[in-house]
Amino acid sequence: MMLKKIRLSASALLLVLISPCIFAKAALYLTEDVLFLSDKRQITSVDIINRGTRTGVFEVRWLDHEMQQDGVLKRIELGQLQHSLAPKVRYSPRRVTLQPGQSQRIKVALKRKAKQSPAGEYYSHLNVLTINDDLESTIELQQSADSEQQGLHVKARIGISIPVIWRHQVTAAKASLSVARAEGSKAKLRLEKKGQASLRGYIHVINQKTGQAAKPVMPVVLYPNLDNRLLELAVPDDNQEDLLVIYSASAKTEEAKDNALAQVNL
Amino acid sequence: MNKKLLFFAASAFLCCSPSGYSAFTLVKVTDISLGNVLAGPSGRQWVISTSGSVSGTGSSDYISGAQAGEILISDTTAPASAQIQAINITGTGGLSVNQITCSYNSGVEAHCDQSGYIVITGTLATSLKLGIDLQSTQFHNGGDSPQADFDIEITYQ
Repeated sequence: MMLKKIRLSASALLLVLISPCIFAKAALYLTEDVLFLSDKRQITSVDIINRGTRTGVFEVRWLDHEMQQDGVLKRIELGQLQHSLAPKVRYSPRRVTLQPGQSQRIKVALKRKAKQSPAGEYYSHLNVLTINDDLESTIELQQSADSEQQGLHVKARIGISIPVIWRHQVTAAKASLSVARAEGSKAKLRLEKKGQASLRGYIHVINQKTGQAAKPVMPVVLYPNLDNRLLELAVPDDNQEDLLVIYSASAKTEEAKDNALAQVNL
Repeated sequence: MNKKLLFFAASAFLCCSPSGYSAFTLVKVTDISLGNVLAGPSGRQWVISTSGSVSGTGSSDYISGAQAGEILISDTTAPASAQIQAINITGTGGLSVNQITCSYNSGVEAHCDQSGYIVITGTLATSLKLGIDLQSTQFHNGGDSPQADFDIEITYQ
């Protein structure tokens, strides 16, 4: 059989040849990782910055998720969830083209009729997807007579989703921690939530003898649709009797000790 | 520029946010590439691991140039819990995608196209490597342009 080569992913091969230029792409940079709206603060915003070296095209859209018992977010068709924020807000712009160093503020505002919604915590994820991370190359390829369009291409578009939360006539949820099971070096903790709002905080494991953190801080979120989560914790056997577990809104252990939302001895 | 210097440059590039911001940065370093393979019939499977190695029934037709995909992620507000998931996976021109795999911070390679893959973010640029398992569904010649596309979504919890 006559052998023919298929040229696969011309762009990727080019990257191999000019590896020092691997950052010749747009870099997606968001200035917030969560946005909050309230009955008093009805407008919020996040900036998208292109910190790369090529022009990027970004699309902004909403996604809905529901948290499962294991903490995984399950994607739900937009607007299907009762707590979806997407239908209650307007936002703009929805697509932006940013040259290197340029930024664009995305504004999110509650619609006027949103105030008539039943009390509760509403949320959706604001998703910023990189449609094109090197607009210059795309244009060059389109204009080039010997464009290397042929070949097998595998292309990943990258995006970030941040939660946007509106607490409408609800108070902060209360947290409690209990030990569901402790066996040897593994413990299962149950974090429970009372109230309609979500819980956003960090689990700190503190050695009570030394007062120092015994494990790295673990961020744990409970979405409004859950009232508890089981958390698995690996703990050293020799320390187990001396460990204090704290759930706090602070990621800093010293602050967490004084501002515990819940705590339990292991 | 050697690899160490390059990595340092990458970290420096991604670690520092403008003052006053909390921020999350994503930059794609490379797309997944299968490199050069021989023309051949449908039914061939190529698995490109997150380390860039090639296996599967089509690996005997593989010549050279395969690489894993790589995305650098940094988060000035780390640690935060984030979910990585490959969605909107499509294959065209005689290609179908069986699965996408991810490895964050040199961790174990895991499927990330099903229920998602939860990671704890870091302040310094951390590498997310991507692999793919794909299959040809038609004979491919030198002039073909089959393509696989997907979105990698990093969802803050």
